[in-house]
Formats: sequence, structure tokens, C-alpha cells
Amino acid sequence: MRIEALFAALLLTSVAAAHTLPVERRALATARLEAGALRVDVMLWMQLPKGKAVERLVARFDLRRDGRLEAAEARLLADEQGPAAVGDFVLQVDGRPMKPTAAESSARLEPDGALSVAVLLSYTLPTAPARLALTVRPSAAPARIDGEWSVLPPLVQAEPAPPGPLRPGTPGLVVRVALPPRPPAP
Amino acid sequence: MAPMKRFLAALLAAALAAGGLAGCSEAEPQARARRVASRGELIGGPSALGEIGDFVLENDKIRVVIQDGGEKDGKEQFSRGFGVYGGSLIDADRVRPLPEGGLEGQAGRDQFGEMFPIFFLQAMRPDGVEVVADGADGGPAKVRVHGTADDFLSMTKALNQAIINSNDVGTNPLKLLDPQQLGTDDDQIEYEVVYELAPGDRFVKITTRMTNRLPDKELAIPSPLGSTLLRLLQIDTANFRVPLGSVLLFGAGNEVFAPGYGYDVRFALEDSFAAQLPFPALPGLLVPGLVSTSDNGISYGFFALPDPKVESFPNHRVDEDGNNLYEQAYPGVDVDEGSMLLPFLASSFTGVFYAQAPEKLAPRGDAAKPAPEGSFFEYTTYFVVGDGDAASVLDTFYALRGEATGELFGEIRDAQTVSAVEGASIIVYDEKNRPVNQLQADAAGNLGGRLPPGRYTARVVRQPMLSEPTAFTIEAGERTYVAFGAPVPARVAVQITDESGRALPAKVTVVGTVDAAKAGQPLRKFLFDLAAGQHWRTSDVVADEAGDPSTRRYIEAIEFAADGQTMVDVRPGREYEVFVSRGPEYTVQRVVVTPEAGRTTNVASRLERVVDTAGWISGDFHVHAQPSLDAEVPLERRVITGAAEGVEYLVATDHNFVTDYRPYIERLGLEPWVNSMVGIEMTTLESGHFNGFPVRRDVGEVTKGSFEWSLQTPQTIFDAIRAQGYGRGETVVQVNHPRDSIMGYFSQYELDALDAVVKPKTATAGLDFGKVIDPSGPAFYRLKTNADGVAIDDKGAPVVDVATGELLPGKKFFYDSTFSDDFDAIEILNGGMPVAQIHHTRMPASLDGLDLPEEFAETLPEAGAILCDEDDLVAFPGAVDDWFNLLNHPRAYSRIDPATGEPAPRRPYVAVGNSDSHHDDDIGYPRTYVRVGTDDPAKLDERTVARALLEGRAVLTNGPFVELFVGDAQIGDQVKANGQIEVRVVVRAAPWIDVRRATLYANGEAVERFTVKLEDGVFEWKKSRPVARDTWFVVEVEGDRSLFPVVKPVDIPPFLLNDAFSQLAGPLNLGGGPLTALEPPRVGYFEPFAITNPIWVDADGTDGFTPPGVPARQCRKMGVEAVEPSMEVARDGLREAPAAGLMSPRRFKPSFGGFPRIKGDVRDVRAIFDHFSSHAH
Repeated sequence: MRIEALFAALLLTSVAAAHTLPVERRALATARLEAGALRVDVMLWMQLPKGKAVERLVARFDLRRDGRLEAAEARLLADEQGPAAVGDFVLQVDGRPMKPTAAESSARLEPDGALSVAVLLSYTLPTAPARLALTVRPSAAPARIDGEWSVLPPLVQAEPAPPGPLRPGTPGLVVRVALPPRPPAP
Repeated sequence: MAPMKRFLAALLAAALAAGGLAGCSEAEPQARARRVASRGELIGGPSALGEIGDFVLENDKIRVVIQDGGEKDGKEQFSRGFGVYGGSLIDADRVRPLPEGGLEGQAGRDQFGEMFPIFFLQAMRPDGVEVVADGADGGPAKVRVHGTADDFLSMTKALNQAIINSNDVGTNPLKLLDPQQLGTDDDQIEYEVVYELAPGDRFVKITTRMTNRLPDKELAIPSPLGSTLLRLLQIDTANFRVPLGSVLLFGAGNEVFAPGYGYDVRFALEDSFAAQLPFPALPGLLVPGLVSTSDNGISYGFFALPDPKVESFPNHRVDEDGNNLYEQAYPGVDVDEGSMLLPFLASSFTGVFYAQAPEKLAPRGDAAKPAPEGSFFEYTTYFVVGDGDAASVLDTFYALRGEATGELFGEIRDAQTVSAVEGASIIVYDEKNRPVNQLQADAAGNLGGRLPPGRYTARVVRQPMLSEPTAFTIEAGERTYVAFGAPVPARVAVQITDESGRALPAKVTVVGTVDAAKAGQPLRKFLFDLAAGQHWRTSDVVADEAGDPSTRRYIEAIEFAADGQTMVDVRPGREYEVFVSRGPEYTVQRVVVTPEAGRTTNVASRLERVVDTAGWISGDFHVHAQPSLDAEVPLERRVITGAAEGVEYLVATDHNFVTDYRPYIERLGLEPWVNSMVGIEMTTLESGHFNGFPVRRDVGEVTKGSFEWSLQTPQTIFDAIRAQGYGRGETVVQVNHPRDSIMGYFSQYELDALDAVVKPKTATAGLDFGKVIDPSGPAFYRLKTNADGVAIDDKGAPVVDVATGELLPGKKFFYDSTFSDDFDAIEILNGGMPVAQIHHTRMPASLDGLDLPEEFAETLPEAGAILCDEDDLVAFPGAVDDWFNLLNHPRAYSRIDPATGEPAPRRPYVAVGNSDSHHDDDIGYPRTYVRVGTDDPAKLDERTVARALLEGRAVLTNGPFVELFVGDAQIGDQVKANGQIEVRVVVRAAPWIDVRRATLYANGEAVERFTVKLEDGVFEWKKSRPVARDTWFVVEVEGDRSLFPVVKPVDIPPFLLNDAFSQLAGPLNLGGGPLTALEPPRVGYFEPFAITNPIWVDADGTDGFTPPGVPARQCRKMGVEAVEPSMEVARDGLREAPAAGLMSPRRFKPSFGGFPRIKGDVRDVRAIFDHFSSHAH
């Protein structure tokens, strides 16, 4: 039994003291090695609070008029709202902007009436350089977006990148990634 | 107790009380409260923990003791029982007219463990206890306990603070998550418990109050932070209220009876979990209260009554339409304002939630004035003391509720002889066939009690029998007489001698066979009735086959003979196999009988000692008896069971209590067969369990020499054990069940299962989830500081502003674990552990029968790979592999002498195997043989045995006896070698123990595997081997055939405390994982297994043994490609520590709500997205 997830949500500091809930955003990124290539997946998540705006939006896609988003309805909504979740996000490798090689989106209506939209963007570098800096930076101006990095073995993170807010005009969430040294030949 | 007997007892009590004997000294019923000033004022009894300085509340009917709390002589007082803090109700008994002496001098029959209030998962930490009304005015006597809240499990600290809001963490969640901050003293709630006893009452009224301490601020419960947390986990906070209740440690020897469920609380609870109640309901049983009964003339009960000012937690758990969630989930169960929720039962540890806290408490205002309305909340419960059965408790319950009742009175007579049947009882069922009451007959066979009007049936319980139902009707205000016929058991009388005709202590196991028509059905569904109080019948844990009766066996009864004869009652008219045994050195005799009701079948058996263990003594170094709250075995019976199992050295290791078996051994004349050692099991709540033996017994102390463990580091506990004993080298400090979840020292302190290292921890400003739910506090961590007390990092640089103490930007706190390796022995085999749990669990070669999640079917680790969990830690570590790693590590061979500060050599850890027996029928398997030069226990003193153990001259076994030799060197010896050695293995086993194969380990690696073929019970193997470097050798032997019925299988999975918390977390959408299918089973039969301690071969030409170092290993996770380890074993034997700055795999977790259940690597965004998508729409 793991109960770490119980405390995961506490990081949403923006909610703690607010009386009206703003749009919430997060960016999560994972880097890994696959078949010798460096792959980066970034998930951009947005939540619109319960209210008239969400009700109108859902009503456009609630084709069955049952107050819920079925699978197909959710896909349509996610396709439309996905760009809003992505905003002007850009992934840079050593300062060079990258284009995603794949994108998926998903949406769901939460029990409390909020609407969540998530987009997964995948990037590939055909060869993994020994060291590189990955930057996640929104170029637009959302109210607040928090980001978090992770790397999977055998990649190692050369410097820590504590999660924190991403703001336009700042370096963004930077992580320096390294491959482990190869063991000497016998 | 029958009404007439109660009257006579009360009359006698009143007469003697007038004479100034135990209890009240006045002629009029009066209640009194006072601080205990002399031993004579205490209650006494098998579970009594009261001490001078505690508080006694008494009247003409009952007496209770409340432990003192708060500070005394500058030190905080902690619980003497299983709880953490003082101030609990710890002893309770009826007033008894005559003092009843016992070997320990006790006068009463207290059999109660401990009780204290809980607020969700927090308990009260007392500041003090006082008498507020001494009863001199003729009114109720009252004792008040006051304090603030604290966690009895540090791992729930952050959860509690979020939910209860008892400490000020502001609106900054980082403060909540930062372990550095969690120790804040900003208490926002104060608690008070008043225990009140009125003259003539048989119950203590307990009023619990929580008060807002903030003078000017309203207090929200849960905290705003907690509400945010719950909302983001898609939990409707509008309907969530914090439950309040009590922890009830009834203790073994008390059978817990829940009206509506009877005695089968355990499985009724498990069945209730299947209902999967939605939040805001919490899972558990709905009960009107809880009762415990015993054969010892004492029973207890705990209830709440409907109170218009108090909202019952279960009664207010409703859905959107206002329907009660429990009534929907449990059809037929009535819920009202007096209902209690029983959410967990673990060992003898249970609790109930009753009330729910208000959403807000108003500001306190001036603390010097009485608290205004709205600033506090209080609720009342009732603790009842009865005469032994449930009826004597429920009589009071019905009276408190003002329920109309009628009286049932009657008698139980033997169905054949019509004589009175003492000790028999009836279980009463209501019209819905639910067990609602239990009445016990006295020596004359009479019984009586009250019931609400209605139609009932009752069945007589006369162990091992259960009668057919008898119907009757109760009318309000009327008396109803019923005569009950007790079914008649059959009796088997057994005489046991050895080959010379000498009477032997021995064990008798009666085995039955299930009808083919019932093959495959759980035994508890048809073979015995747990709810009625029939005892459990252990199955053979073999898959039933209708055509093969050998697969359908169960244990009907077990009995012990101290002096070569015993009798056992069984259900008549069935064929049984009677097995007579005396441990693994003797033969087993089997006789088939079909005993008849009311008659005695005689069996004469002869056992032979066939295994030569000359020079070795068999010991069980972890044994419990009645002084342990969770063990019901009386001390006389305990030593009989040990002798009957052929255990030659018994070590008494009760929980936080020092026990000596010798007086009982002597009284029973068992000295030729068994000797004993005085010991103790220091039992902490979450730091692990540690045995110490031999130790001194302080007869003047209530716990006879135990000491405080709360908030203490392991090193402090180890030092205290040695100080209570005879010092280093003479007293053994043993780590028990080191991987047993919350009770396992290695698990709780996160000893790495691959490299045997405990890593230091760091804390950023709160973003380290793993630490939040880890155990915390001074028992686990100390902040890294320099000589001036300034917090520093791992390089010695300050991380705080020296002037202000504030954390510097970009810096983090560093903590060292308080883990200590200064112990002597590791219990790598424990009787609760089937063989499968001994080594680290590896990927099996075959997936047949395993239910693996589909998403992992494609990427499975290779067969034999050690399995990782989602945190890249060994998923299911085994203690034998932990021991191997420690034996390879340099720190097992030297320690820092605190006197000199210099390294000093030490003996490496000795492995032991013990039963950890808590019942009379599970002692001696496994056991540890120690080479002491004789196998006559009477010739040995305890320190000789302890020294031999510390020298590693030990073999652990649940059956086979194995010896290892390197040349002439024996187990525990160190020998020099010059390139080539001869290894010899000798295996001996009785004919009923099957041994098939052996494995020779060198430095923990398997280097030889060979088949074992016993001839006349002996097998020998030898081989020359090259040895190039210093090597330790160990041999392990195994068999395949179940040791049933001599060694009782484990067929009830232990319900552990973390299982209880898992169930509480269930409605929060937590739990589960992909490795469940591969988890080693917690039930099973025992197969033969034995393992030796090492022989040390010094082959490198240096003086002394050079530890080989822990080899680099990795574990494999499902769904991830294999990666070779990138770090090599350094020559100094230490695995290279990760370089600073490398990410710890535990640091990153999904950091926002909406994803409560993640499978696979929780750092992997793909997995998070997949989870989100799968829960979409």
C-alpha cells in the first residue's frame, strides 16, 4: 500500500487560500533512453473550475444530453481544448526548440464539476548526447504553471531541478541530464 | 453468573467490605478516587499494569486504574501497555470479596489491556492526571486526564495534521510536508477525558472533550489544507467529518464479542471490506458496542448512548439522497445515534469510531474563564465491567439505554447424565439469526441475563461441541425459564512413554478428515462456528481433492502432556487420526480412533528418540505467555507446551515485561526436560521488536524490569537491554522479524535489501513525499549539525543562517538515520513466516496460476531476478538474504568502541530461528540448536547458552538437524586454510521429516547444490574445494513434504496494523499495485528447512577474517528494460554510494490531484497520462 499519492495534491498551493478558483496548470516531463535515443514526454494539464464556463463548454460536447462526457464526447472536447492546455509551451534542447513527434489529448469531467484537459507531447532525439539541458518554458502568460521533471534510469540527473513555477521570460524548468559512465571493458 | 449467586456475592462483598477488606471501607455504597500510595490498593491480575502513583477509581462493585501521565521527575511517562502515552485506563476488575493469591501475589483478576480515546488517528498526550472528585460527598468519583494530541504512529503525522488540524501549520503546505516542521508545538486543540464512577454502578462514564485553544480564531476541522487535499482527490468534503472514538486493547484471554456478529469479528470485518463503501463512509463493522468475555470470571464492554448533542459518525454517513451508506451496504443492520464503527482488528488491538467532530470550534476566549459554548465538543462513552459473560455486561447496556427487558434464566445440563456442566455457555440469536448475547453457566450449571422482548433461539457451546438451537420468547418484565441440554463430547486419553518406559512430556494432535462432499469449501463455513465461539480448526492448507482424503485433513484438537498422560475432548462419531509427537528428535506415532459420545478411548503410545544431537541443545528464543497482552497462555501451560515439543531451553520474551519460567518448571517437576532463561521483547510501536536475554528480573517493578522505548533511538534501546542484562558478550540483543512491515526493524529504517546500507535523508522545503509518510521523529532521525549545533549538509557546510536559523535559499536539511547495527542476533526465521518469505522474492520460472496485470505481461523480469517495487526497492525482502548481505559487510566485523572512539572487533551477527509463539500450539517451530557440549538442559546456566549463541554455534531448523564442518572446524569456528578445504555436511532427521536437497553458500552465493538421501535418518556429503580468499560457508537444507500435522500450518493470514490502515485509506482511492500477484503467500504449510550459522575460513594469509564486501546486485521492476548496474564493488567491501546530486528515485512523485492510483513507475509521465485517460469520462 502506498499512500504517498495522498499528499501529492498538497503542492497545489494556489488553491489553499483562494475563494474563487483560477485555471490551474501543470507541466510534467519525463526523459528516458529508449533504443539508444533520448525520448522526452511532456504532459500539460489544465483544469477549469466548476462554473458557467465549464457548463457551457461541456454542453457543446454532451451529445447524449446526459450531463456526462462519454468517451467519444471527451475526445472531441480534448481535441478542441488541447491547444489551450498547451498554450505557447516549448521544449528546448541545449537552447534549440524541438518539435513533438507525437501528441495525444484527453479530457474528463470531475465529480465536483471541474473540467480537466491533458495533452501528452512526445519528443525524440535520434542520438542521446552525453550531456544536455532540457528546458520547459511557457512563452505565454498563464496565471501560474507549476512544473516538475523526472528522469528514468539509466539516465541520471546531473543537477537537481526542484519543481516550481514556470513564468514567461524566465529560463524555465531546466534539468541537466547525463548518461552514466560505461564500465571499463574486462 | 446466576441471579442467586450474584445476590450472595453482593451480600458477602458488602459484609466483608464493612470489615475493611479489599475495596471500600464504608458500609454504604460509595465511590472513591485517589492516587495509589501502596501496592495493596492496586487491582492485580494476569494483565495488571497499575503502579504506585497511578489513580484508582472504585466503588462497591468495580475498580479501575488509570495510569498517571505527563511528566514525573523530569521525564515524560509513557504507557506501560501497548499504547504510547500515559493517562489510559489500564486495569479493571470487579470488587472481589476475598483476596486471591497467585504465584506473582496478584489479588485481582484484571485481564484488561488498555483503552484510550483517539481522534481520527491521533491520541491524547497527557500533561497531567488528577482527582477532581474524591467521592467523599457521596457523589460520583472522578479522575481527569488533560493534554494535547499527538500521533501514536509517526507515519500518520502529516495525515493527522491535515485532517484534525491539531497543530498550526498555517496555509503553507510546505510546512506540513517538511519533517523539520512537523514537530511544531503550536497546539490548537486541547483534550480532556474525565473518568467518572458513581456509587453502585458497574460502569465508568467517560466524557471526552476537545477544546479550541485559539483565543481569537475559529478552528476548522478538517483544516483548510485537509479540505483542499480531499477535494483534489475527488472526495466530497461537504460530507466529510472527522471521526472520534477509542482504541480498545482487550488483550488475549478476552474473546471479543460484537452483538450482531458474535465472536467472529475478524472475518465479519473482512467481509465488510468487500462492500467497498464510498467515501465519506469508512469501512468497518457497525456495532452497538463491543464486549469481551473470558473463562476467568471477568468481562468488559464499551458503548455509547444516543445523545442529542453528539452526532454519531456512522449514523451521519449518507448519500446525496440522505440514505445511510451503511444501511445500504449492510442490509438488515440497524444504525442509530448509539452505533459505533469498528474499522480494524489487529492482534488484540481494536478500536471504534463513534462521534464525529464538528466542522468548526469557536474561539476560546479568555483561557482563565470556562470555555464558552461552541468552543468545545464533548461526547460520552461507557466502560462496563462484567462477571465473565456478555450478559453481565449487556444487562448494564440495556439499563443505560432504558430498554425494556425480560429475564432469561435457566440451566445447562449434560444431555446424557443430566449433571451440571460448568464452563458451558449459550449463544443467543435474534429473529434474524444474529448472535446478540452470550450467557455462561456457573459451577451449578445455572445461568441468567436480560434480553429485550422478542423471539430468540440459543445454542449451547460446550467445547468442542455446539448444540442445535432451542427456541424461546422473552416478554418485557417477565422471567423465562429454559433448560438447555449440553451435547456430549467424546474423550481420548493418551499415555506416552519412551523406549525405556519413562513417562514423556509430549503433544497429542487429533486430525479429522473433511467429507468429500465438502471438498474445496472453507472450513469456517461449515466445520465450526466462529461466531458462536467454537475454536478454529486449522486445515492442512492443501488443495482439496474429493477423491483423496489425505488432501482434506484438519486439526480437530491439540493437547499436551506434562507427565506422560493427557485427555482431549473431541466431537464424537467421526474417525480421527491421533498423532503423538515430541519435537523433531523423536518419532511420531499415529493411531486411528472413532470415539463415542460420553466415552473415553484410551491410546498408549511409545516414542523413540532417533536424532542424535549430542552436544547441542534446542532452544526457542522468542516465546510469549500471559504477561504479554496478546498471548493468552498461562505460565504453567507455557512451560508444559515447551517441554512437550522437546524444546530444551525456553526464553521468556514477553512484550515489555520480564518473565521467569523457572518457578513453574520447578513446580511441575519438568527440570529433566526443560530449562529457561529470563528475557524480554522490547516492543516498540513502529521501530521494531528486540529481544534481550538473559536479563535481570526486578521483582519490585510492575513490569519486572522493562523500560521506556517511546522516542528512543535503537542504540539507546540496545544499551538499555544490555544494562538490564549482563553486558556486552553475555546478554544477547536480537532483532526480531526484521522485515515484518511496521514491526520490522529493517523495514522501518529502510535497510537496503541489496547493499545493507541505510541511506541518509534530505528534506527540501517540503517536496519529498516519501518522507512525509515515513516514520519520523527522534527515534528515527537526527538533524545533521556541527559541534555548535548549526544544521549542515553532507559536506559540513551550514544550510541555515547562523543568526536567524532560517534555511538558506537553495539549501536543504540533511538527516542521519538513527539506525544502529549494534545488535548481536537476527531472527531470520520466525514461526509466523512460511518458507517462501525467507529469501528475497524472485521472479518465478513459471507464471501458471498467477494473476498478473495485463499491462505487465509483455515486460517481465527474467526468472530468478530479484523483484523491485515502484520505488526501485526490493519488493519482498527476505531476512536470510539480509543476513547474507550483512555478513559480507565490513561493519559486521568491527564497531566503534564508545569508550575509546576507536574501531574494535566484534562477532558478526548470529542467525536464529524462533517460534514467536503466542498460543499454546505453535511453540518450537522453528527453533535454534546451540552447541554447548551437552544436551541435558538441567546442566546449563543461561549465560553459558547465551555465550555459545553469541559465538555463532547455532543451527536453525523446523525439522532437520544439520551440521557443517570444514576440516575439524565446526559451526561458529574460524579456521585458517591454505588453498584447499574439505567441506562436510551431515544431515539427520526423524522419519516423518522429509529432506531432499541442500545448498552450500560461500559468502552468500550458492556454490554447491546436491541431493540429500537419508539412510536410517542420516546423510553425509563431503567435497574438497579450492578457496582463494576469506570465505564464510553456510549450508541450507530443504524438503518438500508438509510437516502437517506436527507443525501447524498458518492458514489465517495475519491481519497486520498496516492492513488496517490500508483499509482506512481505501475510500481515499489508494492502495494496490502490480506486484500483488507475486507477493509471497502469508499462509501455507511448513516444509522442512534448516540453515546453519557460518564457518569462517581465513585463506588470504592475513590475520583475521577479511569481509568480502557486498556484491553489486540490482532488482528488476516489471515493465522496464534491464539495465546493468553502473557501479562496481569497491575493494574496501563497501558498495559505492551514489554521488551527491544524483536523484534519489523516491523524490519525484505525481504532484497534483486527480491521479490517485498509479501503476508502474510513478515518475513516468506516460503512465500518469494513461491513468488519466483511463479514468476520463
